[in-house]
Amino acid sequence: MLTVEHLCAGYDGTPILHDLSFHVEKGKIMALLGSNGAGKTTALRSVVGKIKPTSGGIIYEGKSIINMPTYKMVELGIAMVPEGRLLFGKMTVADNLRMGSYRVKNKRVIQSKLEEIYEIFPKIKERENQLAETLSGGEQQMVAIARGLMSQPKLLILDEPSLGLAPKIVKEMFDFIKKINQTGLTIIIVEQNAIDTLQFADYAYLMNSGENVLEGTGSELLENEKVKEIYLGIT
Amino acid sequence: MIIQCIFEGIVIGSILALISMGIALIWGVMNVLSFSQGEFLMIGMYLTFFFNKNLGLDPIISIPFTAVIMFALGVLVYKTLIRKALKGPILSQRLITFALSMVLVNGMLMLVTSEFRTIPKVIFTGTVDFGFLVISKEKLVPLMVSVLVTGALFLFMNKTNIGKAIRATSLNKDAEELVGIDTEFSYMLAFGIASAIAGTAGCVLSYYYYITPTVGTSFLLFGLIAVALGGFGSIFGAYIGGLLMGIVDVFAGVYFNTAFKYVAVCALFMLVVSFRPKGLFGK
Ligand SMILES: Nc1ncnc2c1ncn2[C@@H]1O[C@H](COP(=O)(O)OP(=O)(O)O)[C@@H](O)[C@H]1O
Ligand SMILES: [Mg+2]
Repeated sequence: MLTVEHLCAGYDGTPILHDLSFHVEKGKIMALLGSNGAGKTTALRSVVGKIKPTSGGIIYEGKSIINMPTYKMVELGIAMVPEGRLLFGKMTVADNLRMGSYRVKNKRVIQSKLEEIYEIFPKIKERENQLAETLSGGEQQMVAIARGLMSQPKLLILDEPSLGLAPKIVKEMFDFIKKINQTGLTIIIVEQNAIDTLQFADYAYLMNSGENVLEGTGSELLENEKVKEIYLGIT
Repeated sequence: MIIQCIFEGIVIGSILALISMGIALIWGVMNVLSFSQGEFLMIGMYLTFFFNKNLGLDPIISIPFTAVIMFALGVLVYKTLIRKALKGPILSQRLITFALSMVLVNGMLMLVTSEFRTIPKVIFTGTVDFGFLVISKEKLVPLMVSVLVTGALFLFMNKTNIGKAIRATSLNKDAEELVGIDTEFSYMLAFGIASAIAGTAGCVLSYYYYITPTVGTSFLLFGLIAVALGGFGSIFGAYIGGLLMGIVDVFAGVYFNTAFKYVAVCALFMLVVSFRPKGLFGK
């Protein structure tokens, strides 16, 4: 569904990504792992057109999307839930969700999507008229994901959804991600929380200093000595 | 007398509020200081004058035409100047609207001279006398129109999809593109709307005010201070700031003299800055 080939990108001439390649298949959960500063967010921002790569290719459903502006991504079916959630803090929760379907013109579709989301997240419905900034971290993350879902994406990109959440909430979040994947949605998830993520990811890449150093299925990487070394401290 | 002054202050303040809301809108959405807002008001006045002289339209009737022309002018200014300046250094972004304002004022001085003009005859004239307050209908018109325009702006920004998109742009540029909003489109609309509002302010101001190329300058200064009083980000704060400015303006003019207006308004601003650096409504 999405293939990134030999991608190089950076900020204002500072190269961050060197030769990064990864691939995600339709209907799967792909995890991009790596320590803080490895370039995971930079990779995702390149995919959605926030950063213009210096070289390499990004192919989505057979077409290059490398020079596509960010605002056109939702029309292609790509939604990203950015790191740090980036909600519209001074808007109500309901308005945040409606903004998620800004490009969906059919009002009835929007309404039914909204009801669907309220069904999955009853907590959000309770808070629909509250300003988004007044929600707790976990609730905000749920709203951010829900906002992403409102555009009816085919590919959902999640950048560190567990960041700043209590362990119990993290588990709920991961369960939820599995659940939406089962509805047919393809997912790219970036996490520092590698061991938990590998439990449910179909395929994963381990990144370091702007390139991928390891790849494999979730269980393969869980067994990998290097991963054990880095993430479990086992040698 | 005090009640009369408050009324007069609210009338002029409601015009200032239209200028300051435009400045706040543009600042909030794209971090550009619109020094040309006063000149958009001035051009709106000349358009009104033109429509009146050549087609016999009352300023009220010409509001939709003036607003549409000013919206188009705002969009054009955005596309040809602001959009380009935003790609440059911050100082260019600040100076560009200032340069535009200079060109508009002095260009108009060359074109139509500094001669004061007025609209000779308007539909609503006469006064309503309450004893403690005499309301001239020529002033009631700007006040009512300002209230209507402000109400319409609030409805647009809070209830319509496009208005919410513009707010989303001002709230978070990163997230806004991810949900499919084109930032440049929001910028263009915001600039066009602010310009149309200033033009509308010009229409109704010409109901009782003289028309001359430099008329916008003092409105801009007061409008800018109104925005700063309100705390810069918020359109609502800018509106209240505008009303407040109008009242201070009239009181200072009546109880002292016209020169003192500027002292009063600027002193008020300095006081607010020293005691509430983020403005009256800033947090
Ligand atoms: N806006 C930016 N401008 C310049 N450098 C940046 C910017 N954002 C991130 N970086 C740098 O790029 C590198 C990779 O960052 P990032 O992609 O955020 O990593 P990760 O998401 O894996 O933690 C870091 O060294 C970081 O300092
Ligand atoms: Mg990151």
